[in-house]
This record gives sequence, structure tokens and C-alpha cells, in this order.
Amino acid sequence: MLKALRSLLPVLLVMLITGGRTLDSPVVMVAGVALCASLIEGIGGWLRYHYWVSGGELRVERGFFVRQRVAIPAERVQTVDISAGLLQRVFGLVKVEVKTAAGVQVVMSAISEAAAERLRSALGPQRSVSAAGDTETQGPAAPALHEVARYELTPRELLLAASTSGRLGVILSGMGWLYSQVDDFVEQRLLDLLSTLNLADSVSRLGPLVLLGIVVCTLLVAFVASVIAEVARFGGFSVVRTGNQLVIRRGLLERREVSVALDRIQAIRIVEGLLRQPLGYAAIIVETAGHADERGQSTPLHPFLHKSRWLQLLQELAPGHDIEPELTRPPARALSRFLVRPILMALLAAAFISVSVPFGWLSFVLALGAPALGWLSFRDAGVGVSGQTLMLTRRTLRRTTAIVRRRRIQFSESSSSWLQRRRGLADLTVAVASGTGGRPFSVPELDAELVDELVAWSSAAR
Amino acid sequence: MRASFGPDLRYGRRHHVRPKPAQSVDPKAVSLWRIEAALRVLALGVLTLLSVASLLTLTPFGAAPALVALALFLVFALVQIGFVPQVRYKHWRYQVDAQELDIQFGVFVVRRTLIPLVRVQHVDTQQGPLSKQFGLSSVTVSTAAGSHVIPGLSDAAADQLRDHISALARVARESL
Repeated sequence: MLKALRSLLPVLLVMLITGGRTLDSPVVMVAGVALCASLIEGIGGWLRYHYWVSGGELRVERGFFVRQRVAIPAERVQTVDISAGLLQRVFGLVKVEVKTAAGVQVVMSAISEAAAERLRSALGPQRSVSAAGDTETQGPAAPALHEVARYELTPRELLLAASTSGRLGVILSGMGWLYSQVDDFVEQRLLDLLSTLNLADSVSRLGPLVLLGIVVCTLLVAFVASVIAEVARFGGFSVVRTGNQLVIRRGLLERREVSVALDRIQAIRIVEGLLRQPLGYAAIIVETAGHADERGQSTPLHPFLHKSRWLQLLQELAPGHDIEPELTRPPARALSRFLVRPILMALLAAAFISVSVPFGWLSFVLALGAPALGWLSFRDAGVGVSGQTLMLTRRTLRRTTAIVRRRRIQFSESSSSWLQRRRGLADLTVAVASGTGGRPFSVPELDAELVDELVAWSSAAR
Repeated sequence: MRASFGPDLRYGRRHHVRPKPAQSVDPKAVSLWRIEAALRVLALGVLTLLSVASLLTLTPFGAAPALVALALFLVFALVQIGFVPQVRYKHWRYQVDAQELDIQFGVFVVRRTLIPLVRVQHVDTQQGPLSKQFGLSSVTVSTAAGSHVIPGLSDAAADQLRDHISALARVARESL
């Protein structure tokens, strides 16, 4: 029903925009017909939406005017997402998205929580435990297997995670956009206000101070907003492994629940943000085929975990993804290549800023950070093999470590420019399935022969 | 860590350098790429002419900047049409064996890609109107993490490669 209402929205909007003025125009007639049609389609579609699981297949029949029948074999299901937006939570309902490697296949906008839970256990890896066709008789949300491991966030960790999320920039640009929308209006009001209060000349005297105050206030507001947004996003986080299935829950206002079978994990990524790395914390991300969240990003397996517990988490939640502590680093002859690019970029950017902004030459001070970043990227790049897993580490701004099992590598690549070949260097890339496309992981400036061997290792028969 | 590479992988040794993939693309591809380059250059040429014309009318330096721009464009066109397709052909290599597809291309930046055949999801051949005149096709090999194109194969070679990869991929998957 929710879905029906929502699909009516555009039509209602058209009515609101055009309807007020010209009630008898053909546009309104068409809109009226469209409204009726979509009302019938919405309600009829809802009445005629049926799904069931039989013979190891999810079957869906939907649509009123256009009937659609969908069948998805359970072994093709990559993840089952359950989410509840504010609207759904008001009605005590949830939305279920069944995803295969080809993307989202089935969306049920509003079903009861118990039904969603039943559906998930019917499509999950435990399906082999219960006899085929037996799934209907299982009680709601009664997992047959015991809980193997559980991770949660303490309130302190949640706050720390939210304040080091590095999403300040996103919020700031959002605010900048908002400001640009109301710019003229606000500016005029502000000037009026200042002139009525007769503050105009005191402001011009205190000009720089006021400006600084505004900047600090803006940053503060943006920071608080970003913290609140992240707390809402990751509040109530938990990841639980029962049997061979992971269930990741998060969200304070909009609840999201992703379930991934262990054998659906394509790769693990450990992302250490610039602010988080000094504290020893990182986000652990799980790559799965066909799946991405509302921002098109992969699922966090744990949003904020201290490095002392990474190994334990991987062993418990993603067995087979080992951490290889001893990485092979780029050779010393690669150092200059790590330094040259950031320095050149920083100088160019600083030169550009100097020309276009007053006091822009101050940005040359910031450019001093470039060699440091180059050095860090050199020090942090590395690759290692342990058993059947490949571990790749690199730094752009944040440090990313990818852990990939050999049999999940879709292709591997070495790439070397003319300048690199002169020094016997090459970049290594391996790609895994992720989302609806792939995700490449690469390490720059490694020894060329090592890269050749790793490329061969990655694609070797096994 | 070195030990974990297995017996056939000891890095830092010259003896395990893999030879280049054996197959070249069809020599006719050079002519095709020349014509494609010429079409691209032609489109760019129109833009260049327009900007040269505006340079002539707008700047006070006379004909000099326009002539420099024109000369640069001619050099660019010559390189693109006369030189690049030939070199590109020389450096495009591929090879299929029972386990993997091996692709290498590029002149300044050399890329070498290995695709295990077990990972191949599907293979198709394509042909545009221009390549049809030359009897050339390209083969696209798709995995779950993206696709790779081998351009400029003769129709027969492309069909054969497509069927070959498809058959090998099936065998490799079944023996897994």
C-alpha cells in the first residue's frame, strides 16, 4: 500500500502544479486518467502481489495491468536486505530487497517483520539444513543454529566513530550549496539588519574577527551535523554470525539489515581514515556481488574497530581472510616516484590558488604536506601472500588494506608506464566482483618482476 | 613469505619472466584504425578551424598564433593517422591457453591482464559498420568484475576465439 501511495506522488505533483490554474485543460484530463490508472495499478498491484518460496526458489507474481512472474533460485541470491524507513516504521513494516549478482531483483516495499525474517531464513545458507519445503513450518525468526559471534558498538565508540568519520567535507559542501541557494536573500536581510542596528561600521572595523567567527561557527555546526548524521547511520549497530550467515544491523531512524552468506564474501577491505589511523581504528568493509547501500557503497562489516581486534573479527566473521603481517614494500628506487607526483600537484594547485585568491600564496604552506604524504604512501604501499589470500595495502589519503582470496579474483593486471619500466617498476591490480560491477584493488610502484609473479599467482589454476 | 609463493614462484629471478602473448591482432586492423583516427581527427579539425578563425579575428597578434595552432594540429593529425595505428598494432598481443586469457597492449603505458577462464561469464563478438567493410570484429570477454575487449580480429578469428574461450571456460569450470 505504501508503494502504491508513493507511486502516486509524481502524478499528485503534476496535479498540484498544473491543476490550480487551468482546471479544464487537456493536461489535467490526462493527469486525471493517469492518476486513476496508477491508483488502480497501485492498489491492484498490491492486492495481486504474491511471493512464496518453493523448491529452493523465490517466486514473485506482481502487477495488475502487466503481470510479471519472477523466479530466483536461492543459490543465486547474494544478499537479502531488510530496511525500515520512517514511513515503514510508523506502520511497523519493513522493506525487503533480494539481490543477486545482477543487482536488485525483488523489492517488497512493505511486509511484516516476521514475514521478512521467514523469507530471509528460507533464502539463507541454512536452507540446506531444513528439508526442502519445510521452511513454511518454521516459526518466525527462530534460527535453528546458535550464534557464533557478535560485535557491537559501545556508545563511546559510536561517538568516536561519528566524530572521526571524515564526512565533515560532505556536510560543508552541502551547506555551501544551501547557502548559494539562499545567498541573495540572506545577504540582503543581513545588510538590512546591520544597517538598522547601526552596526555597519563597527562590523567593518571588526571585519576579520567577524569573518573568523562565522567560519568557526560554520565549521562547528557542520561538525555537529556530521556527527548526528553518522550516529543516526550507525546507531544500534550489530553484526552477528549464526551458522554460515552474517546479519549486519544498523541505523537509529532508518533501520537497515543486511544478511550475507559467508561464501558470498568477495573481499574484505580495512579502511583507516586520516583521523582514525592515529587512534588505531578502522572501518572493516565487506565486498559482495550485486550489493551496495543507499550511497552506492559496500557494506560495513564493522564501522569502527580497533586494530587489536581485526584478526579476531576476520577469523570469526570472514574465515579464510588472513592478515599477512609481513608485506613486500616498493623498492627504494620507487621513492622518488611517490614524491614527485604529490609535490607537482600541490605546487600546481598552490600556484593556481595564489593567482586566483587574495592571500592565496598562503596555500604554499599547505603544499609542504605533499612530500610527507608522498613519503607515507611509499611507506604504506605493500603486498603479501599468505596461503590462498592476497593482501594489498596502499594509501591515497586514508590507508586501505584489501584482503582477497585467490579464487575470488576475477582478473589481475600489471601496468607500467615508460618511466616505470626504466626503473623496473609496475603497478599491480586485482579485481573482484562488487556491487553490480567490479572493484579493483591496486598497489603502485612495486618491483616489476614481483608484479609479474603475483599476476600469474592470482590467475593460476587452483 | 617467500616460501608461501610455492615452488614455481621465486621472485627476484629472471628465469620466470613470462614471454609476451603470442597472437597479434589482424594486420587489416591498422587500416581500420587509420580510418577511425582520420574520422576523429576530422571532427577535431572542424573545431580547430573554428578556433583558428576566431584567433585570427580576435587577437591582435596577426596570423602567427593561428599558424602555430594549425601546424600543431597537422603534426597531431599525422601522428594519429600515420604513426599510432601501426604502433598500436605492433603492441597488441593476446593468447588463450587451457587456464587463462592473456592480454597485453599499450605503448607508453603497457598493460598486461590475465583472466582465469573459470571467471569468464560470457563472451561476445561485435562489429560496427566500418569494421564490417574490413571483415573485422572485436571480442568482449566479461567477468563479474568488468569486461575486456580484443579489437581488430578477422571475423573468422573472432568467431573462433569466442567459441574457443566459451568452450574452455566451460571445461575449466566443470573441472573445478
